Amino acid sequence: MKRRDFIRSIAASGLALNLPLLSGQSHADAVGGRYMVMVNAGGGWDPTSICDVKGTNGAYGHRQGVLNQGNTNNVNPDPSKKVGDIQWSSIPDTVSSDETVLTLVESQYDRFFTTYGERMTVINGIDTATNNHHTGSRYIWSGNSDVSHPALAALFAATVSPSSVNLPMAFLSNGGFDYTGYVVARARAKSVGFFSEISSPNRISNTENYLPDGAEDIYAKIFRAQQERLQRQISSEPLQRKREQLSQLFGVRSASADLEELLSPLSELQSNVSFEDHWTAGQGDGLKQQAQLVAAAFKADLAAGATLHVHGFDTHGEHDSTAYSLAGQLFEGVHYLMVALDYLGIREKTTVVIGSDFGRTPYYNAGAGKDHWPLTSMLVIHGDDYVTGGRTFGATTSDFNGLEIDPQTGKASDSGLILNPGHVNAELRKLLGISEHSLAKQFSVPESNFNIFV
Amino acid sequence: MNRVISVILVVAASLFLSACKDSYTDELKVESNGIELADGTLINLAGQDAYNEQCASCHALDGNGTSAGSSLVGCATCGDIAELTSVIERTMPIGNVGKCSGTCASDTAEYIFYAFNVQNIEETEITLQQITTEPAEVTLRRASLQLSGALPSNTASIAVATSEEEALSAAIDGILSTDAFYDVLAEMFNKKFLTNKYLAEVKRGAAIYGLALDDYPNRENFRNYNNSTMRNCYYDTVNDSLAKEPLELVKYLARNNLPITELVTADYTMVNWYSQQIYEAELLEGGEFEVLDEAVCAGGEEAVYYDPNDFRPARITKDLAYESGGIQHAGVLTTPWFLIRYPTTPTNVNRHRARIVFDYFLDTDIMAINGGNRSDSAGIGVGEVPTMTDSECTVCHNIMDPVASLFQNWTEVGRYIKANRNFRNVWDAETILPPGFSGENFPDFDPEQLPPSGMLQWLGSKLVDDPRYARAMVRIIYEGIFGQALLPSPNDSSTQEEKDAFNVQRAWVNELASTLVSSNWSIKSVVKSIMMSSQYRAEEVNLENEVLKRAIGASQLLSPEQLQRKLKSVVGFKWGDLNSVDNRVMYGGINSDDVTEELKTPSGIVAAMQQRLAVEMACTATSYDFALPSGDRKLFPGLEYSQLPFDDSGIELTENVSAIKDAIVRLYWIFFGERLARDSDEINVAYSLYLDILNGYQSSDPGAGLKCRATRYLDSNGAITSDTLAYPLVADETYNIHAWTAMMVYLLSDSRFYYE
Repeated sequence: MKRRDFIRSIAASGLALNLPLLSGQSHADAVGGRYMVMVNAGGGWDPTSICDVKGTNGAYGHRQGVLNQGNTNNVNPDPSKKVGDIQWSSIPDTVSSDETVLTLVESQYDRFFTTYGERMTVINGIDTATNNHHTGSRYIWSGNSDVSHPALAALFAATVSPSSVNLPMAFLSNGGFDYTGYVVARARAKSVGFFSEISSPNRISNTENYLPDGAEDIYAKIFRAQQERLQRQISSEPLQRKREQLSQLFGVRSASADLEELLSPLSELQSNVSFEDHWTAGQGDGLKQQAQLVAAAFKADLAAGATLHVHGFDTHGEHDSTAYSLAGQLFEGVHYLMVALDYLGIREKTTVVIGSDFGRTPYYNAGAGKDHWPLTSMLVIHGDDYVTGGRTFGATTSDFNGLEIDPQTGKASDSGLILNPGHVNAELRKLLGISEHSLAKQFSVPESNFNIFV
Repeated sequence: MNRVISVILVVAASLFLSACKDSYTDELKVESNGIELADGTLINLAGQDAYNEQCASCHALDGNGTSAGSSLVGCATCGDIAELTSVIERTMPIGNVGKCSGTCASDTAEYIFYAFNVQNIEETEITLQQITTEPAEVTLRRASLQLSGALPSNTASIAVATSEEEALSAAIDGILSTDAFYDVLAEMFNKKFLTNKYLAEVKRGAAIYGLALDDYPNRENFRNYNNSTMRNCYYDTVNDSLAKEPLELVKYLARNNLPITELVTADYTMVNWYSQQIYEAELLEGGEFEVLDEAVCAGGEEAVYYDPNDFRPARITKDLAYESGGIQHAGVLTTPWFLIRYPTTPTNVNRHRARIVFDYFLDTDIMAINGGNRSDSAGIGVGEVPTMTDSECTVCHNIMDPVASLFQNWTEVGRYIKANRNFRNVWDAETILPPGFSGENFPDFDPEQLPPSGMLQWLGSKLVDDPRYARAMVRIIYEGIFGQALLPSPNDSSTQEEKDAFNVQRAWVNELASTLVSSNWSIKSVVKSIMMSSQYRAEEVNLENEVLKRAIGASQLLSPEQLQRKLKSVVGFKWGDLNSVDNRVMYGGINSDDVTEELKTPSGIVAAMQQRLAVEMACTATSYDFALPSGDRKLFPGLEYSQLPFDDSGIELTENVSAIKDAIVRLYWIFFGERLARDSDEINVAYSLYLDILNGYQSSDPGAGLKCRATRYLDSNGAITSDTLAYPLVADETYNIHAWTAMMVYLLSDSRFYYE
């Protein structure tokens, strides 16, 4: 009997009547088996170097000690780099003296936006109102600068389950802001190679087990006995804290039996979707590795929400030579994720949101770096069922300051409102179909009438 | 077994209450502006006004505190009214010291004493009922495993079984004197400092190349060795010797009962032979480092024997590239590993370091100060230097920036270079407040001159003078032992239950802080007080308050490091798969680098790892233990695998059955801390499982060969050594070892093996 089937048989026999605290908050098929990924550009990226381009505007020439004639960027926008109303950045020569590097980074930008622009919403002019990494990350990814709100992907994982079996790693974190608010367990997967071992605890090889079967499956017998013991412990434990811990363990142990389902899609990706073919060898491999596991976990119905994380965007010094290349690698990683999801047939069910702590100054400091700036952008890549991509919502001034935005058009308007991460999260919750869920209401974000996703 | 029905919390709070009540009442009669309200209570209205205006933004209107300011409820460190008045005058409000002095300070102090140290505690007292604590021998086992990674000695166990509390107290003193405890203590502090990021197991060479070559020309002395094995070993040993510097100071202070204040004031640092070679440091007390009999690193003709665990206090007095006379040490603050772990940039100008100092050493979250968070960015950057002129900014920067300025002689990469306007350590003294702390400027600072030395030493002395320092130390120990954060400071949306729970816990934390101070800052005193407390020893809690109920009891999912220590102690060796940092992170551990928060709620991955651990460890340990001489066994002393529960005819062998059940009883105790009778239900369930599996194997006869053969000795990591066992085990004709292996899988899968 497969472990998954075995666990289901235990559940069917009534042993799993005591619902664990965490899994009780999952809702089978609530939104039809959808997935969500938060891609975090750690450190605070520079939207003006990506999707809210300003160019050589000289806007800050009056500030002492500022390099580059007070320009926001060292290159002007190229009108041809546009899909719909999404304009992306050109690559300045200051990125590298090596022509091959410039060509590579430019190709990464161009391929990313031309490949995904039609299914993408760019959200510009998001005002985080902070220059603090912790506050900014929390606000961007939870919609509330309060510590008590879970990350969007965690909330999503807790409210949506593509399977009737509890997800053993419903929320898979690779770093970045990953607070769960205790609505879902957070799983980390640093060591992909270890999965084959832990997914089948009793297996030595394909033909041999540590505990050989006797007259029956001995391991299954022990597992069943251990779950029964756990139930006795739960019912007799007087201390509330311990009782909760035991219930959590009972829940995740029941679900952990599914882990071996990961191996097949993971192996398929490893064999058929190589890092170097999508797009460039040695570019964004860390992110690609994270993406590979996330895609496989989604396909195996083990996870519903995940974070991908790459750090290094905190470019206080030598901004251009770091920020553009890093963004290029980020695009490589996201592309790999999309290809992997596509290969596994779940791309159309997955929403990918890319964001960062906050933005960076629209001018350069004395070290040619850029410091913290509260305005930022986010990118959302939709599944195939979303048809109105190629859209930019929100705006900033020519010197990259905040603007009031018309909630319907997303354009600047004197009668509009400042767009903040709370609004964006509210709209993302609607997009993901979880805004009316009781957990979403428990961790509420401000009411929003910003029509970001039409 | 006697159970201690404990009301320690109530007693602690009541003691507090009486002390505060008495002092307040006495002083109020003679000197206060207090008035009597209609309900008969007394309140200092002038103090209330001053408090609401100047204090409430951090300490909250109801005194419960916020993450920016401590709770004033049950305020043990407030002293008496005179002392609190003095503290207010000297240090408050932290962004504008001096604003409230004289009568303002004494009125405010009176108000605080009445409003938050009498009234709220009376409410708290009503909330508290009873906590039933576990037996002393159970506490001893848990404390011993947690603090020293070992089961208690037989002597201690026997003593506790007879004289309970007194013996428990003595036994804990013993545990707190073991080498293993100091390692555990260092682990607790690392969860805050995160300086283990620079260990070789996280990134090879991270510490060596964290030092500047022109300050420390010996940095790459590993190149002096020709043999690659020797060189690699030496490289990692030197690296870790450097990286351990801050945590070795923690261990040194605890081992020698020195005040934990020296963590930020010590005018020395810690070196072993390997790091001393790099730093060229002078030992405070001279002498020679310990030399071991066995080489620490060896290869070819080369070897080194100095004990890497022999750390001693020393000073770096040699000339640095840009500073003659070396470093003026200030405990961990001046170690490269603290400084580069919390780096700065030319535009951050040490504010990151300042924020960390407030958080780690003053238990104060600067980012939570009211006014520091805007609703949007409109108007950000008022004036040329907004951090000095924009009131939205200065509310935090006035507190943070003087401390940031104190770090000005330390560069982005942690080098000591006097701040100036040239390229080596650029510092613009006109765009940031001068160095200082809590309203007090660093003496004789002149922005036109080269900055003076010793600014971090001065900071250290001010930190330990601050009442918050003691609480910050308690917080580190509390979180280290309980594996969870203290209850969050209440805010406007908190329920009364949350506030009450916070007040009770805060009163206890303050009491622990008082214990720390009165014990001459012995960090062990805090550890011991927690171990003896009803909160740690709670077995049953009968409280109305659900929030408080959940916060009581020390049960936690063991960290990978704790689990490895437990395995080594009770099974005999660690699980090899948890030696990898990445696997430990998967299990919920930290790498002190990009993963800095332990997971205390298991995911399915964690559960699967537990199950794999149970199978692998059971397979290896069962046959290995039976192959050892009886006296050397961890699992089955006094039992032989030839002891079957029945004879060849299937007739039960009563003596053997008893011996088998006794072995299970013993395993329940050492694995789980459960004292069960031989005929208890749980033991009968386990025995039946064993019997069933044995019968099943014997009847199906799947093959007698052992999957995990025991032929050689294992080391503490479970790795096979070259030493051959006298009585190797490779087959199991009766299937008894198979059945015991299955029983061990059952036991090693148990929740109580993973939660302590």
